[in-house]
Amino acid sequence: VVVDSRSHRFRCAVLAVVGGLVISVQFVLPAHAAHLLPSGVDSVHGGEIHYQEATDYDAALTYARDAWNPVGSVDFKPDTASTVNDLQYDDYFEVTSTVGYWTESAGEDNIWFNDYWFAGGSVTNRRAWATHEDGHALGLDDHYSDTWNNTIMDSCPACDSSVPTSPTAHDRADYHDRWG
Amino acid sequence: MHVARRVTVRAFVVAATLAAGALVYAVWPPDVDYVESSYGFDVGDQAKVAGFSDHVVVASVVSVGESVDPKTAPPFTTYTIQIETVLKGSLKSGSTLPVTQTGVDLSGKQITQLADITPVREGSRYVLALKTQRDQSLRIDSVPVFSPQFVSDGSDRSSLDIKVITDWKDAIAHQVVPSNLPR
Repeated sequence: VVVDSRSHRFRCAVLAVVGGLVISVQFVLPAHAAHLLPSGVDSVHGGEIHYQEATDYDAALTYARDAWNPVGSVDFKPDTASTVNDLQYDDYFEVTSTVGYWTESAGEDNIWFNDYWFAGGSVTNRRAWATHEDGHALGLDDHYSDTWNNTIMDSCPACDSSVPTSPTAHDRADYHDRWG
Repeated sequence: MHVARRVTVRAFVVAATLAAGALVYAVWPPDVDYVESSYGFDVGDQAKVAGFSDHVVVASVVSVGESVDPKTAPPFTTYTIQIETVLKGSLKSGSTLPVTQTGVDLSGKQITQLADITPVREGSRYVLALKTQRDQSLRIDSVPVFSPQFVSDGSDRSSLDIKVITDWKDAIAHQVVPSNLPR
């Protein structure tokens, strides 16, 4: 009886220590290291992004919108007379390595598509680039490490052999870290 | 007399309020808006950045010129640079010329800055990868780490970062033109 009792106490102690370690690790190590823009900036207001556009790449814009909207609670919606515009899409031209910009500002934010790349870009690449810029509007940051190749938020979203055109599991995890 | 004193007090209050407002404005930190970029090729590969550029130079920033928000394109600033060493291209050492870069700094109070890009400061020296635009002007090809890449404070030329320049020479010697450039 004495041996059983000691054995029981030992098992309980081991279980308590292991349980405590598991709980501690849960608090110390986040399950997913999110890549979010600093200071929590984004183009979202009231859970939505109302946008206007004057881009020649409507198809890419529409594709990107439809790629992100099902992911979670935030919706891209065209601006109306009764809403305040949050985001303006435009095209510009510069001969640089930059495909597009998302610019934060006190009023409406901007997404700029660089004609230099977009005009001759394939449908797949345009979709990847537009979906990437929309990711910034949702508060997601660029990924520079090769670990994140083939994600939409890779700083070069159309560089890899397999070009993603919709949010990958990692992009979705970042999204859910930001928006639940 | 009583009225005159009241007017004097009011004037003092107004002046003190304005002075306090000016002081708060002077010490208030600038509002920084960030610009996030995406790229058409792997800009983490220095050989590709070298292959894409028309010119690569070591240059000092002589002055920061006009900040422009054209509304039809992202805001940009014009800088005057003096070229000290030509690593690639046909520009002349010693020449002074204007270059532009996306981003603006309006009187230190409203800054639009490219995220992940080294800001250019007057008086410092950098390696700059430059691209010729349609109007033949030169634009800094802003990419993380490599352009602009700081090499020394202008006031301390002995601190020139030789390794940065050596790495650039090596990248240019082994440059790769990205395969997916627009035609």
